[in-house]
Amino acid sequence: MNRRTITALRALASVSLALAIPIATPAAAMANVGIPSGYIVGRGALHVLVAGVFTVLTSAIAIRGLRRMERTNAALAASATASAEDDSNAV
Amino acid sequence: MLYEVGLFLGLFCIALVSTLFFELVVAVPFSMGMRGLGAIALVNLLMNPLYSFAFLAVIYTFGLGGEPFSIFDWRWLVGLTTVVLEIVVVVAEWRLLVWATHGTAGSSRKLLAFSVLANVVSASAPFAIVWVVYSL
Repeated sequence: MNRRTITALRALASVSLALAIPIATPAAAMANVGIPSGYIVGRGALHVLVAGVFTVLTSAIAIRGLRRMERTNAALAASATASAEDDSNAV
Repeated sequence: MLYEVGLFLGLFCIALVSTLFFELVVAVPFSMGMRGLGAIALVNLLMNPLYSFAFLAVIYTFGLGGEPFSIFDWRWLVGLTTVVLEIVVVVAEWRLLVWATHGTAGSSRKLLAFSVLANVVSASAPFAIVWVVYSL
């Protein structure tokens, strides 16, 4: 993976951590109706963190596979163009 | 806590696998070949968790408190988020497929048509299944 991909994945991980904070705001409102705010904050933060880790892992696998596929297909397309040019020159 | 982590990962995996299934089914009549199907699988592996994560982030940030407490109406929030994210995903999947396949799976227009149709089907199919099951 190149530098930009790693930076993007790190940014995604940071966003998932940062999102745990705004969850505290509606949780405070929930506390007014008797639902323990700690439970909501903890649960929401846990969901966002789990989702963030899962997303970073799957994205890393997918980007790696896509880059490899792009290189293979680029080589295939280039060889197809070259053989087409050879054919036209032969004619 | 471990149960909740497992449940949540399971939900993400179900979303990914069901989307992948519907998109691969839609890809069959487009006859993209094995390279095209592989590219679709990888693009979905990238975009589906990102979509789910973005959806979760928006819903949790603006709507966790439910209707009396959320900033926006719950149904509008879910509907608007779904539509905006689907448009972003359609464009992103189309450009990624064009980039990754280099024309080996078809023209850019064909890939755009596939991306639109596949996302419409994968977004609406679960609702259709639930509707059919409940109307039996």
